[in-house]
Amino acid sequence: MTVEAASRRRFQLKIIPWLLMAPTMVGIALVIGYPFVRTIWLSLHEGRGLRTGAWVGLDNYADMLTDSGTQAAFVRTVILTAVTVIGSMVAALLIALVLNSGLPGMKLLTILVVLPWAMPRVSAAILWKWAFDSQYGVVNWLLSSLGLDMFDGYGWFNNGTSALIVVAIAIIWAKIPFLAIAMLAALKSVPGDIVEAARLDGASAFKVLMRIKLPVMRPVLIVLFVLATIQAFQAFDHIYVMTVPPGGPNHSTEILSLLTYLEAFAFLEGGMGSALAMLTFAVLAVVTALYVRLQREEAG
Amino acid sequence: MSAVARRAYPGRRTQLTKRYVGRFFLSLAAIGIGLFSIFPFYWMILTSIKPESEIFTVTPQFWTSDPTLSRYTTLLKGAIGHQLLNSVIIAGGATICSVILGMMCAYALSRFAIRAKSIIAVALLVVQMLPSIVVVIPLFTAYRTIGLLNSYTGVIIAHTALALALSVWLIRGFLAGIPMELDEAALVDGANRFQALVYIIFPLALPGVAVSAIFAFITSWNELLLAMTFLQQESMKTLPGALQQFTSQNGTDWGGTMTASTIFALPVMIFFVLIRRYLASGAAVGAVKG
Repeated sequence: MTVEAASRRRFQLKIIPWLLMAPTMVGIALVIGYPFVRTIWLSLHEGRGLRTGAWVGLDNYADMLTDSGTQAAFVRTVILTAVTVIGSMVAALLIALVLNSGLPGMKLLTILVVLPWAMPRVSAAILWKWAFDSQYGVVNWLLSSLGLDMFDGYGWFNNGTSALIVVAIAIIWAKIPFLAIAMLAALKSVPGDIVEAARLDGASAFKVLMRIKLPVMRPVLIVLFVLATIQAFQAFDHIYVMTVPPGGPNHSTEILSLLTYLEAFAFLEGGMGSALAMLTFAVLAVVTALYVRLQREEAG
Repeated sequence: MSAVARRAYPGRRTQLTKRYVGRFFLSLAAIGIGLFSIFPFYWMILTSIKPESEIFTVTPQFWTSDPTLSRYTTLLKGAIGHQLLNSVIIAGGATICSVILGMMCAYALSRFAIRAKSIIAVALLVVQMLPSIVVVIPLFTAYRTIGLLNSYTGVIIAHTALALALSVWLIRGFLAGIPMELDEAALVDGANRFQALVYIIFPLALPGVAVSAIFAFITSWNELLLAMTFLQQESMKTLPGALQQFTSQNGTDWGGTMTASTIFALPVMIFFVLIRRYLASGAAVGAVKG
């Protein structure tokens, strides 16, 4: 190889990877990076119909943190996130255990479990709303025919708490497929001979789960937990589609993402909307940071 | 186990009974899980073919003796067909873009010595965690200025960016399992980098590519917030927006909604059943590698 060819090759090794990465980096910078910086900037201004108004410093943040509606929305978001994440993780784990049990027909059941993933999120949300309809809903019929008369014609969407319960069920249902499949994959990585040995030594199924299976699955469970938390905290579609008007009745189901959207695009308060978006971002940044720390501890 | 050992094992009978009871409850659980997963689909399709009089009954009708396809013919003649096309174009465009760009980026990250490699990988993960609500306001203003509102391009770009980081991570995970010697052999045999990528690595990474394609497709197919904000003209609406139009202040046209939902859900469901093998492996790799 001549000196010239060698230096050309070194040059290529340096330049080619950056060329390959350039479109991704430029795209992400333009579509996510720039708007992100812009949101910070906007949040420090008065927003007039999405136009940047006068500089107000941290006023938007001060207003936001002292506003009782926002505080309530924040608490609601946290509770909804906790309930849907824990609910879907536990349900998915139980389902994964059944799928991994080796009973006949589990391959078919796995396909059935995956199917809800294919259901468009908005369709599923509308379907659950229909199932919980006060007069013609399947759920009220089922509950009242089981003898719970109070559910005869019960208006789930007439008050905030029961509406949020329905929303939580819909979100959990939508989350289960991915979580269950990922957990099933993790369960399959648990060495079979260890489980077998523990069983022969007289360990109960519960003990095997707690002492062997869960510890092996731990890294996967942590990743899933973090991903699920991040997604749940920004959940928007279900509330938007299922409650009428979105966030109703009487603001009792407003969560942060919806409030952000309404401020920006309904009340045309871009500044306040941006401040709310930054609040969501701050919470998720803390979650992400905790995750990165946890991972580092695991590794070290 | 030999016959002697079998007889010499005292607690066997009770253990067996215990096992059968256990299996019985497991089977019950399995049936419950199956019903919980599948019932909403059944209910959706059933409602879409029921005559109106059977939809609004206090005691739900779990079967229909008088199925009708009239809602499908009416809907497909209307705007839904066009909106389905919008969804396909946007989701398809975003899928192709994010897979091609993701493949290029993942290849660079896994095959070259780049000094900032780990920083780039973590940055991608952080990007994945940014909520779209954080970017929607400025993006809307920017799109309005450059005229990308109510265009396929605008939403395709936004959805590509949403799916891209995960694409890179997934494909990178699969590329890590393909030995470097393969590219080197191709290069020695006179192929250039591009040929090595397209003819050697791409086919081997196909499961990973398939998985990231699926994730990208679902992300875009489901996405409501950006699509709703950027596409305000009736003729440009995608699936989530289209489903909204069945609900008004006067209530919801349940038959119509369920029909439209079925029209949108069926293609994806069929697609899912076809590629289920990749889904499981992808979920595994995605979960393990981050």
